[in-house]
Amino acid sequence: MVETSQWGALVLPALLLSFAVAASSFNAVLSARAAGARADLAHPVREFAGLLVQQRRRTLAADSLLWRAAGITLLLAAVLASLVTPLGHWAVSDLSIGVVWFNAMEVVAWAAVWLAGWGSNSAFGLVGGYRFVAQGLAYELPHMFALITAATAAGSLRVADIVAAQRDLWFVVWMPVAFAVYLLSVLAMAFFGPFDQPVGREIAGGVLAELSGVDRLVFLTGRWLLLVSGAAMAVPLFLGGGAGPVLPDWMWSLVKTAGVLAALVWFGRRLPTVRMERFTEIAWIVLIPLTLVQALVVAIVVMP
Amino acid sequence: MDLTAWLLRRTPVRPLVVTAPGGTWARLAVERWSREHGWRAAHSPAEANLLVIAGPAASALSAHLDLTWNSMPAPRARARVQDPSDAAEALTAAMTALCDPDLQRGDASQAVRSGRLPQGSGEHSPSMSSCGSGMHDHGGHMTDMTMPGDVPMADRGGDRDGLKLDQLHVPLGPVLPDWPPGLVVHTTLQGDVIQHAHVELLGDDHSDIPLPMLAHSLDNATRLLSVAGWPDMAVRAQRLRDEVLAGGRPVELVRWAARIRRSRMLRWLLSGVGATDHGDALTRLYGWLNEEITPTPVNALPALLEGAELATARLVVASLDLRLRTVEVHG
Repeated sequence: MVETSQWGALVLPALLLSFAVAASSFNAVLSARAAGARADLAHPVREFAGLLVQQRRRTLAADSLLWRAAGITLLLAAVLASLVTPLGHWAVSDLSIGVVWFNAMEVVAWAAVWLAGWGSNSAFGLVGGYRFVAQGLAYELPHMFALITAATAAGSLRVADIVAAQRDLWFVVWMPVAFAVYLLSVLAMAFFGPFDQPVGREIAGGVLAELSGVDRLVFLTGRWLLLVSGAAMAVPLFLGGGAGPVLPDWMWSLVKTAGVLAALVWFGRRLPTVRMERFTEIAWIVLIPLTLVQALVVAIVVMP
Repeated sequence: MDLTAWLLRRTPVRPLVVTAPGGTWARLAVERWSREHGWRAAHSPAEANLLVIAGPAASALSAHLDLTWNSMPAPRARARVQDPSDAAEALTAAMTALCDPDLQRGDASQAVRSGRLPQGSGEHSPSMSSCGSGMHDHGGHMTDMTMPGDVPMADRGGDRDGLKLDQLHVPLGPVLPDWPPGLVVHTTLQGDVIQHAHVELLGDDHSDIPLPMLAHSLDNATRLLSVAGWPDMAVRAQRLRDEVLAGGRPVELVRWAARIRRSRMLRWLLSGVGATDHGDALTRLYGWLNEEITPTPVNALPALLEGAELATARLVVASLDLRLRTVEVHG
């Protein structure tokens, strides 16, 4: 079903990056519209230029190695997570445990964000880092149950099998709860609004508080890539992968990914920041039981 | 082709606005100019490339300003806007300085030659050698063991659950986004819970020509919504405020207020935050929508902040219309 191509590994980062730039442009346009300023499509590119000429900083008694490694780790985790995401009928790698691989790479982001907060030896950075860990505790279990629901329906952890199982009916239709929880947790994972507390303005940017120049550039790029890779995975898991009329399958993958990504960016701006002291309760008392019931329903339906 | 110059010309301006006591009108002018030119405010000195000081010169702030300036990476520029009418001129001049490759190269190489790359600082008092880096205690006894960089180990103390936890002394303000001018809250943190708070006011002149009631309410709402992490609604409030100050009564106001009232999420997030005899953060915000402002004396702050988590504490401060009169209040 899915052809694997090592050459895809060269194309993948560029593809993810293009989506990240487009999403960031869209975000900048929404910002400008709210502020009543002229829309600036090239804003992410100018931001890129600005961070390239900006000096790097250091802080007193910083753990420089871990601090600088954090951004690169985030970047790598986002790209590696997408290795198993098919584009039409191509994927860089079609692992038999694709879903687990994807999830494992996302969890690496926990370490990366926490290290960025810890490494700078800054009070606000550390608070931001720990906020992300708390956020992880809230979103990760519902997220895993959402992933497992799709895998259960297909009876396989291989992403290609999950796509194949949706030939007749997309999973989003009969497991809407898992889909909604998946999208929410993608926002939380990329600490994008309304889950942007780890980089909150009220703690001077949290884990970003002390980052400047190329370090900031790498970290922010990693964050956008994480959002893109989460959005891209929603397509094979719930939206039938490359299935669709007229257009070739790879085109459908791109169109669907762009749609999910735009919806995430738009939705993320519609709500105020959720504080974990209040959200964790919802996550554990409402979301986990909901996703469990969804998984149960799916398990009963597919029972042979 | 000079690549640095080319990149510099494209650098988006990221202003960090510090308001001096009595500088409210100057701040409004700066915020308006920034918004109309598509500048997005920086959250920290590390992100900023333009330091804007709004309001009259206050010697009490200068140490904090120097610290902030020294922790800003090049390219960077500085602007002082004493009077609202100075805003356009001062900001344009600063922008030109920011794009000047020779000036910026000089600034950067000077920092390297003197061995002083921009160091983390920003939100913390000058008594701390470096700012965000606040892992040390300067209140309690000094331990013999020192950390790298000669920073003493954090002290420990009993927490609310009877555990012994590290204490961190972190001053909040005066350089912090959406923060009252000249206010410093010296906090003792355990984790991110404030165990002890003590308020200090910098500068003597805290009087401002008062804003019209509606504009004042909208300015308060802008601050609270921004701290609550809802930038789109905050910037809408800011636009409405600017239109009101320009003499209009925009129709958009009703729709904006209705959306605030309708938001169940905001209700859930703000209810119970900073509860006083006159209600909580949510009732204060709803009050502002009706142009009702209840001033709170600054000496009420410590009691409201102690026991609060940092994010809640920021919301408490942003939700109060503080009367910054009394100097040095201990909690």
